[in-house]
Amino acid sequence: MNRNPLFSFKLMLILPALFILLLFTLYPFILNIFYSLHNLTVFNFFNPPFVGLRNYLRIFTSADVFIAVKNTLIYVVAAVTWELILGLVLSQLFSQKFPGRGILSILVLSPIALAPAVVGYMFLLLFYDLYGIIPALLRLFGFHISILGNKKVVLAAMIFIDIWEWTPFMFIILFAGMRSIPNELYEAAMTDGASSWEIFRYITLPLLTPAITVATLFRIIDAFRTFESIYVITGGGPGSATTTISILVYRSFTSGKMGISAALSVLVFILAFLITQMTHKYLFSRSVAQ
Amino acid sequence: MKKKSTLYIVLALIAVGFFNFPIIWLAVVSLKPTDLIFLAPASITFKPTIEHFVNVFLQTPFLKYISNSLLVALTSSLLTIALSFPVGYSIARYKTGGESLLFWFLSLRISPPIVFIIPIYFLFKTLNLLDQQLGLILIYQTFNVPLAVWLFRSYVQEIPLDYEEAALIDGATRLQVITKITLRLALPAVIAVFVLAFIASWNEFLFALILTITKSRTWAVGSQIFIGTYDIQWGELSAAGIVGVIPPLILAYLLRKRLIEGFTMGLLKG
Repeated sequence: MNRNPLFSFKLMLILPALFILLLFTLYPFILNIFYSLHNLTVFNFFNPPFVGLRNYLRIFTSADVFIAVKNTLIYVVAAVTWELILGLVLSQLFSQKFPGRGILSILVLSPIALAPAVVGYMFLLLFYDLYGIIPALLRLFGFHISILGNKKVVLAAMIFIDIWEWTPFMFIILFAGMRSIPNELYEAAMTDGASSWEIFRYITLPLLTPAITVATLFRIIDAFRTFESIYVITGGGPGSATTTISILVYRSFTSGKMGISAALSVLVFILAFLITQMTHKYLFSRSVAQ
Repeated sequence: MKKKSTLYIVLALIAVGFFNFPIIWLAVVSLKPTDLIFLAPASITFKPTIEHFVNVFLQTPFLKYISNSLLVALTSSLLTIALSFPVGYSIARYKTGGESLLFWFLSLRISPPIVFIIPIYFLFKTLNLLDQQLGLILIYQTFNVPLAVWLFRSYVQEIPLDYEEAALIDGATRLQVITKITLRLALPAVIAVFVLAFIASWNEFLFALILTITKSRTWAVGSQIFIGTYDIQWGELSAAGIVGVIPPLILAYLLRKRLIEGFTMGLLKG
């Protein structure tokens, strides 16, 4: 193809997209590194004073950052683990033959159509202490607890929302993976008298590993950046019980501590980049293997 | 055997209930008279009212927010197609940039948008793009183009070269070939990209929250006006959420045949 006289034509095709993406991603990224080394405020963004690594030092000694990292890790690990388990259960269920499974499996996907902000409002409506349906139902059974005001359960409530919102996504990918496993393998195992647990453990699970890995990595990346539902429902509170890294970056941005916010962004970017590298390595070693 | 399939249906119905109850409840509250929302939050027997929907449109600039969102989502998804199709074509046909360019597009999709908000905010301030619809249209390209490039690339790869070569022999230019032949053959991918980009832009929250103030507020951010400091207008908030779900549902309805076919074909095969 290099002999092609249209050598520059192929570059012309990508230039407009490349220009916009570079302007709005690479340039901001470089600007972010610059800002992270300066004491930036809304009023001095043309000429912020240089402070060296002080913003980074403040991040590493800040209790807020420690709590946010801890909350984010708990959130990501708990949510993705439950989504994986429920996704496996659902795709196993919908792999069985029963009447109505076509329409029922589509109805399971409804959360995918919703805006993340609406998911936030919706669960605010369900969890709200005074007028929410869930506290109202709990009161009927004699439990007088506040969900959103209780530091011990509020993070779990946010994780529950993530599970509700994203299990269908996990289900689609795992289900597609299960469909691609050849039927002959199952038939052979059944003639050999394998139990359904053995079939799941020794046939489905190993052959599903690529799908599980892709789905899990995508979910880790997305759970890591969750913002809307927490912002809408608790804003990171009460106290800092639901403050994740995204919420913390946003909070330091709106409270004027922009240099710190920029330094945090650089760290988040590096973390996301490392996860991407892992995904990339895995995906490409898979596609080479196939 | 009969017993087993009853068990499966029951389990499937439980799953459907779990994933749909919050949405149904949102619809119930949007139709519930205000006094009942506060006095009997769990009630389900009441005379439905449309007062909340009326209030949403008459007492707030929600119609403006909706039209802003429609304009931004439509324009930005069309722009996504215009920008990404040539890239997907170039990578598929000429291997432009090799694997690393493709990976670069993917990695853009993966970095969390929150890391860009500070520089983007000041960049927009400098370019005078704050609170402008054009600003949102441009910034939405950062997450829509990478996905679109991937879809277009894999779709164009599957289209045989024969059609293009025949047209080239007949004297068509490369650009004519792309717009008149490849683009048409790739119509299913174009539709898929349009739907995905439209829904992503329609639902976007973080950039719209930071980069708009009043003039170009979108519905997802604008519906926050029903959450006051001391009280929440639950009925109006729910009605706004229901209104916001409608455009993606209409799109999904228009493409239902594609969705259901693709999904049930996999189901029936087994």
